Amino acid sequence: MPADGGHHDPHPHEPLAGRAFRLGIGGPVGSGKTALVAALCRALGAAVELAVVTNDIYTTEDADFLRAAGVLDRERIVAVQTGCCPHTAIRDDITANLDAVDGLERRFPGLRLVIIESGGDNLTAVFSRGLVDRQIFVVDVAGGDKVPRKGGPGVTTADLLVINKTDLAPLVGADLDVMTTDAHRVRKGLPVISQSLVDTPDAPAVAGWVREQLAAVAAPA
Amino acid sequence: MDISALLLADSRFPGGGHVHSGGLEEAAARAQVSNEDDLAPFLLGRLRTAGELAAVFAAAATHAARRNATPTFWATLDAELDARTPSPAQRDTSRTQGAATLRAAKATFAHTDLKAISTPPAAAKATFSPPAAGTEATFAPAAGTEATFAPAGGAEATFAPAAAAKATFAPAAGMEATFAPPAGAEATFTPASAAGMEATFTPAPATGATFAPAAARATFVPADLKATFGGVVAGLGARPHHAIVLGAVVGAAGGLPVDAALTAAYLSVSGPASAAVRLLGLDPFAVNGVVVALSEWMRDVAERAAECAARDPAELPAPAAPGLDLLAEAHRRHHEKEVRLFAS
Repeated sequence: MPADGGHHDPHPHEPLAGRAFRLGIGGPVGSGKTALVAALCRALGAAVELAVVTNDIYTTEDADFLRAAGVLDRERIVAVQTGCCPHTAIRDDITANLDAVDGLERRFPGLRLVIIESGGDNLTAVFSRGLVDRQIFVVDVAGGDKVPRKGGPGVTTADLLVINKTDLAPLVGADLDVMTTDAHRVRKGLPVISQSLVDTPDAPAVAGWVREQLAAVAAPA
Repeated sequence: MDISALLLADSRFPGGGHVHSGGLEEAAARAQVSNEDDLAPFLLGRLRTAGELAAVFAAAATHAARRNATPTFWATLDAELDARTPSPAQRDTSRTQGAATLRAAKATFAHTDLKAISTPPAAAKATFSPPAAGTEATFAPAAGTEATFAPAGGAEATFAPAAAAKATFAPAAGMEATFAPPAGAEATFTPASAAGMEATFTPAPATGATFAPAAARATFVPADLKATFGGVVAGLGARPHHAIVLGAVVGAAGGLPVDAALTAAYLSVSGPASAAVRLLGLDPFAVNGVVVALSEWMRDVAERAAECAARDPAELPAPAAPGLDLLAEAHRRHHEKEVRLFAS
C-alpha cells in the first residue's frame, strides 16, 4: 500500500514540519470511536508522545471516559465546544479544533500525534483535510450490515474504514462477509480493517496502520 | 456594502463564530430566554450595548486601515477596547474570535492563485497577455501606467486601471469583459466583436473614453480602494479583539467604516439568534423574523458608529451591559461544573 493509502488529495494540508501528525477518528454514535481511541492510546502511548481532542455533541463524556480510563495523562485530553454542531467543527469551520491542537502543541513541545475524535453525529461527517492528515471512519456491525453499501463520504473516502464489534455479528444477525465485500467495493482499494476490541483490546491492526502513517511522515519519499 | 463585509457577516465564514452564543446559552439555562418573544428584547439589548461597542471599534478600525495606521495606533485602539470590556471572560472570548477571524481572513484574502493578477509599479509601461485562452484574468495597473491589456479568447477579464492611466483594452471575441477606468483616465475599449461578448462600459466623469459596439454591461471598479491587505493586518497584534479585526479586514479590502459597523452590529444579534435555534429548538423563520425586526436599530447603530470612526480612540463611546458581563462570567464558571455547548 502506498504511504498515502492510494488516496489522491486535491486539497493538501499544511506541511508537517514542526507540528504533530493529526489523525481524525469519525463515525456514527455508538460505533466505538472512543473505545478505539482508548485502545490506540494504550497501544501507542508508550512509544509515541500523543494527545487527544474530543468533539462531543452534548457532554464532555468522551473526554471524561478517556480520563477515567487512565490511558493518558488527564491534561493531554481536551474537549472542544462545538456550538451544538460537531460536524461543523470538524469540517466547515475547524477553528475550535485548530485552537485546541495549537494549545496542546504549545503545552507539549515534543508532541508527535494528536488524535481528534468527532462527535459522531452523522454518516456524512468527514474531517476537513485542513484539520487532519489522515482519518479513520468507524462503523459497527450492530449499526446494520447495510451501512457500507450505503456509502457516503465517511465510508467511501476515509483513509481507513474500521468495521467494529465483529464479535456481535452472530448476535445481531449481521453478515460480516457482506459488510467487508460491500466496503471494499465502494472504497475502490482503500483499506478496510474488521476488528473486535473484545477479542483484541489493543486494536493491533489499526495501531499498526497508524504506525505506518507515522513512519511515512518521518521518512518522506 | 463591500463584499468583504458580507463575507465576514456570513455564518459560513470559517472564523470560529459558530461556537459562541453571546450569552444566550447562559440566559437560556436560567430560563431568561425560552421562546421567540423573550429573544427579541435580549437581542435588542445586546445590539444596543455589546453590539454598539463592537460597531464603534469596527468602524474606527476600518477608518484606521484605510489610512494605513501605525502599529502604535492599533495598540492604542486595542487597549481602549480592552478598557471598555470589564469581564475577563468577554475579553478572552473577543480575542479568541479575533485571532480566529484574522487567521481565516489572512488565508482567504491571500488566496488569489486562481486568478492571474498583474500589478505593475507606478509609471511603468506595461503589456499584459494572460498565459492562455480560457484564463480568468485581472489586470490592475497603478496610476500613471501606460497599459495594454490583450487577453486571449475565452477568458473572463477585468481591467481596472488606476487614475490617470493611459489604457487600451482589446478583449477577444466571446469574452466576458469588464472595463472600469476611473475619472481622468484616457481609455480606449475596443472589443474584437460584439457577437458573443457580454460587455459594458461605464466611464467615470471626465474620462476621455472611446467605446464602439453595442451589447454592453459594465462594472466600475474604483482602483484607489485596492489597499494592500497584508500591510494593514501586519500592524495588529497576535490576538486582537474581534471587532478590530472585522474593521481592519473590511478597511484593507476597500470597504467603508459603516460597512464594518453594520457587520459588527449584525453579528452581535445573528450569533445569539442562531444559538437560540440550536439550543431551544425555536422556529428558524420566526427567529430570523426577530432579526429582521431589528433592521432599523442595526442601521442606527452602524451609522452612529461610522460618524465617530475618525475620533481619537480615547474619545470613542463606551456603551456597557453589566448583565451580559455577568452572564459571560457565569457561563465560564458553569462550564467547569456542568456542560456548556458554546464557548461563550
